[in-house]
Amino acid sequence: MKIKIIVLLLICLCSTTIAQDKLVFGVNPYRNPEELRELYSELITYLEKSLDKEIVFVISKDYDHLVSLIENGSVDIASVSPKLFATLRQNIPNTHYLATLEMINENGQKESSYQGLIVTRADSSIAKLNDLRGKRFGFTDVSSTSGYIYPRFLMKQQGVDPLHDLSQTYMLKKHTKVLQALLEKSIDAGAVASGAYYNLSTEEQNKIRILATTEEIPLDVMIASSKLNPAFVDQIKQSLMHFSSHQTTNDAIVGFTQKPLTSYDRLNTLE
Amino acid sequence: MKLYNKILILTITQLLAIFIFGIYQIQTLYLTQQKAFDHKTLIQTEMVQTRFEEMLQNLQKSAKILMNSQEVTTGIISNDTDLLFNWGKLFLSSPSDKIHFMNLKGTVISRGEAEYSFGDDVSKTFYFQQVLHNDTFLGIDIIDNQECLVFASRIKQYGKKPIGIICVAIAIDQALLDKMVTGTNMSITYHSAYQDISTTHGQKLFNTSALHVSLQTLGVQEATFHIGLTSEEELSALKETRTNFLLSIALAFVLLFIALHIVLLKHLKDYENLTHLLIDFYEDHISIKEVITRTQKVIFDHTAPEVKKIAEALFKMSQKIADTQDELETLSTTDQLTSLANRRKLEESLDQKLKEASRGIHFSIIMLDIDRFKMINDTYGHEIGDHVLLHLSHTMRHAMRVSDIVGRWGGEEFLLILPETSLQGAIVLAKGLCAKIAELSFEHYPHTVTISLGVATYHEDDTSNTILNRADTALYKAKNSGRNRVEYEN
Repeated sequence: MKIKIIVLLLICLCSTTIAQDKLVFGVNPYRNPEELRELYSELITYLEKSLDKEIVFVISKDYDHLVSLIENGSVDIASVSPKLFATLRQNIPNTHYLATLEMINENGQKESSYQGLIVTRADSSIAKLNDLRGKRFGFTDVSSTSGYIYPRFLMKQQGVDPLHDLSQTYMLKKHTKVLQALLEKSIDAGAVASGAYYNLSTEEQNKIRILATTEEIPLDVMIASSKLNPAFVDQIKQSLMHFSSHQTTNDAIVGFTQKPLTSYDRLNTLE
Repeated sequence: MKLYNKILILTITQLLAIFIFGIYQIQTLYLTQQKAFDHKTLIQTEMVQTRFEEMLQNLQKSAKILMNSQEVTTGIISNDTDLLFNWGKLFLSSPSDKIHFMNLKGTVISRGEAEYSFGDDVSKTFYFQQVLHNDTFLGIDIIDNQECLVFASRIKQYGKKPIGIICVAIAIDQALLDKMVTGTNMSITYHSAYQDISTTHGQKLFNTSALHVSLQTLGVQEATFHIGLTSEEELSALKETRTNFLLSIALAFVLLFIALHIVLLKHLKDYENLTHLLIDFYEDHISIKEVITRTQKVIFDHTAPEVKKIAEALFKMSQKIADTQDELETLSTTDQLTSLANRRKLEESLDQKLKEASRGIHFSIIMLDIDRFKMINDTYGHEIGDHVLLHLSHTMRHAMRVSDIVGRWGGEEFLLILPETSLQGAIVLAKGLCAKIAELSFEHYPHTVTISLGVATYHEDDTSNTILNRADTALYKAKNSGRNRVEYEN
């Protein structure tokens, strides 16, 4: 396997220099580059072997950036958040859905969906979502399903308008950063994916209290650029569906599944 | 002027000239080095000053780049902490640097140096208030409990609408001060109402001057930077060298003076001793024998060749003089015919014995005369007469004890001085001599000869005349009593 991490803004340049027998694999920057590389390394190795193509692994600057890279064909295949996929389906309807990721959850079981959490510190006076008024809140990114869309939806359901009722909101990009900022008391509450929370040590988990949990959110989606050959897209899909990992670590990608696309379209209705 | 003084003055004058020249040289070198040192200090002061100014310029440059970044503007508007952190992080050049992004209310959106620390309120800080009033702030203020060099400015969207504030700061700490003076000999101190730090390591600062900076320091009272030297090590070394050199010169001068004095004394003393020896001799304080003994001692004691040569010459000369003196002495005290003591010598000896006798050493004398000696001269001539005199003298000398003094008193008269001899002892000796002479035969005279002897012994208060008179009276008596006999005083 040969993995290349191309730093943020250089991706456009890279795409022009990559030969056609290479496949560009893009991901959202929802974790540190090292963590993302580790997470996708087994899958990339598998795809290189099964597709007989070298895969160039790139991490976009942010969620929007990844969208634009997919749109202009700089990225061939990508792992995107459910919300991003829902947006793409609206903006680029012919974007190819390949499969939904299956990961190991905190209980060691395979799953293709997860939950978003609104968390605060265990010693905080915030007891319910309504108490968030006038507080500092940390989101990940406006395109993040669990880090923005669903939490905002939950707050709105409780009559809290994140734009006006919170004293300050911060976009922290990474779920882990939201948790660390919370522990450092830079924010009073934040929105994160459940996996990020369960990846914390028990000691750190004990310092954090869950205020609200979202409904099941389908896991990230593997998509292919509309500019790829449909036959090749099928080949990729088949390869993904045959991928199976024996990893048991939490958040490890262990397989793929097919989900009805309506479960993603729902995300566009959560505004 | 004495030779000692001449040599000493001449040598010291030369030494002084050399030393004064050396002192002049080291003083000239010292002044040159001091000038170079002052110049170097000035250059290094300017270097530190320039570094400080560059540091402030870099603060402003970093802030301006970030302020003009569209992404930073977007990050401020969207409260994108992560984006601002990533941008801020890029411009941090040291762990003590700080880059903060705030909204206009004074809430920190992101800290470039602390990923997870934000959301706090800094609206009450001095620099923030200054920026709100004056658009920018360049000065010293407390940021996150640390005194910092701060540049803060408003961030304006499209260069017009203020949307936030950026603050770029460097902590005023030991590392900053060290960095400012690194590679120079300068030291820097920072004093404020809150802290005193310096690179002096507790040493006192010399040639101090304040950094020429136009900073707003109202946020931190009494904040001042001073630069200077902790030690004038180079100059001190030079001063020490100069002092050491001067001390060495002084010490060398004293040592040389002492050494010269000792050498001169040692050498000139030998000459002086020899001179005193000669003076003592001609002033009759010492005899020629003493001169010989002392010059001999000089020869053995001193190895200096020139002194030895003079001493040897003096020694040989003294020996010659002594030999001559001995010869003259012998001539003046010896009877030429008989080689016995002459009358002068006898008188001296008698005087000497009289002196000794006054201390209790007794003596006696014998005055003797050859009977009818005139007839021998008249009959056989003077040559035979002298022959008889010589032969008799020889016999008398051998007949008497070694300690006895035998001398020719005049003509055919002889005087015998007998130390530590009583009258009886002298009579016995006189009788023995009389008998021996009477039996004596001569080679060139066919007859025997007789002598008449008068014996006297020392009496208290005797003079040479009184004792001689008594001996002469006794001799006269022997002559009158038939000759060839011994008579003694009554």
